[in-house]
Amino acid sequence: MRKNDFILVGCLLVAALILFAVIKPSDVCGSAAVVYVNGTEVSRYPLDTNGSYVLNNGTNTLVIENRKAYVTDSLCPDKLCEKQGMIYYENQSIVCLPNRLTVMIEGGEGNFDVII
Amino acid sequence: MFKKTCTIATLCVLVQVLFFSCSRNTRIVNEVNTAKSRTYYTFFDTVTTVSAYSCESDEEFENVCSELEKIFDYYHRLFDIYHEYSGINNLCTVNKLSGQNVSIDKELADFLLYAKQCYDISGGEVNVMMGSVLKLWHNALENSEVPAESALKEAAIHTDIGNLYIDSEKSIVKIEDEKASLDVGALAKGYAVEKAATYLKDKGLTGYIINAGGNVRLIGTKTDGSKFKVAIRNPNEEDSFAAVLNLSDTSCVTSGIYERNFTSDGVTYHHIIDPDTLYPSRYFRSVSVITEDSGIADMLSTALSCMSYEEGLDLIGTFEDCGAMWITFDNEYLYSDNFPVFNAEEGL
Repeated sequence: MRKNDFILVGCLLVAALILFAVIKPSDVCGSAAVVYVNGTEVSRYPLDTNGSYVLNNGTNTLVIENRKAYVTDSLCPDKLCEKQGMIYYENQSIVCLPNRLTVMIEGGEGNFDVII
Repeated sequence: MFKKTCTIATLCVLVQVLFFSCSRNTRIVNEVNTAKSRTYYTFFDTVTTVSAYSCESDEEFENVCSELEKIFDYYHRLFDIYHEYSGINNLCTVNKLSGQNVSIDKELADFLLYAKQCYDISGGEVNVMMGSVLKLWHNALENSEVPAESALKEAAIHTDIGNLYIDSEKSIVKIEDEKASLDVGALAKGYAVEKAATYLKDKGLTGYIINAGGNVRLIGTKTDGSKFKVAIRNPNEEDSFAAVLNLSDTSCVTSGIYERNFTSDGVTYHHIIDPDTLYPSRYFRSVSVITEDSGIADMLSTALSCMSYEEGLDLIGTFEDCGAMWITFDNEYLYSDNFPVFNAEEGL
């Protein structure tokens, strides 16, 4: 009996942990960095995988590091997109005006409608 | 004993199911509140995004966007000081023909009258006749070279708003000082966004956000009647927000000095030029203004960037329903009484 109790409690704990991970009332951070050129989606990258991606035939590079995204190596003259730093909240974006490129964080829950 | 454990286990499962279904519900609500959006890169030297939360069909959204695009495009052409367009006398034309009478659209004449009012309201901190000085700073930002003080002082002689002559009945404008020129960068975006908002309101549309480079106009509420959640970044710390606000039917504009700038000899020069000093304003790191009219919010955010907190409080006190938040270089937060701030954590 006692052994069964332990097994049951153990199973429940594991189940709870799994369920919690699946339905985690996910924090405000988004799940993907979505790249738009000229307002049209061209690619999306999961935030849970670190990586470096060349965008828009090489005009910019997107880096994802520890669930945060930022833009480097831009061929634009003002480099404003590089100065915009890291983004990770849903609806947060980096814009490169000369290249008409936007990187937007999407797929979070219950977040902000606008970030300025 | 086993029976008891089973009961506890059943309870646990029930609680989890309950928790699970609650969290599912929030997701559904969020799906209802998902927005359609459209981005433009060609207006006012910034990115403009239109988001619709309560637009039923893609076709309706397309129609609304194409109307809004016409409005943005019209005002963009009108206010452009770098290019002329066929069939219309815009500010580039007016600048080029300084010293002469220029026939303009009534819309432009009305806007220039409004710009003169803004000069008076802001005590001269928002001056559309600063073109000669701003030109030097535009070049400076491009070349990362600080303009010579003598050049700035010489340019400043030609910034008298009294030399902007407007005949609104005949729709004629004349810059009476040939070396003076117009630059409406501090007012243009907000003014055009308000025109777009007026279009939406006249159509009875609700649940829209227009964001023209940090110039945010909220029309109505979200589909479920809830307010929009607006987060203002903390310019001093990347990882936190200066404020999270629940807003509807209003505008929120932030003037910050942290993006458009350059550094020379260890000093950072940004794009908000204080008419009193002719150099970048040194009062605050950012100023955010909330008031219904997006044009007024835009004007005030620039004006407040060029004066002390006390002077700013007096200025916004003359407007109904206007709140502001100032962030100093020491990361100190200052608010007006009616700035609808609540704890950023609570907002999360």
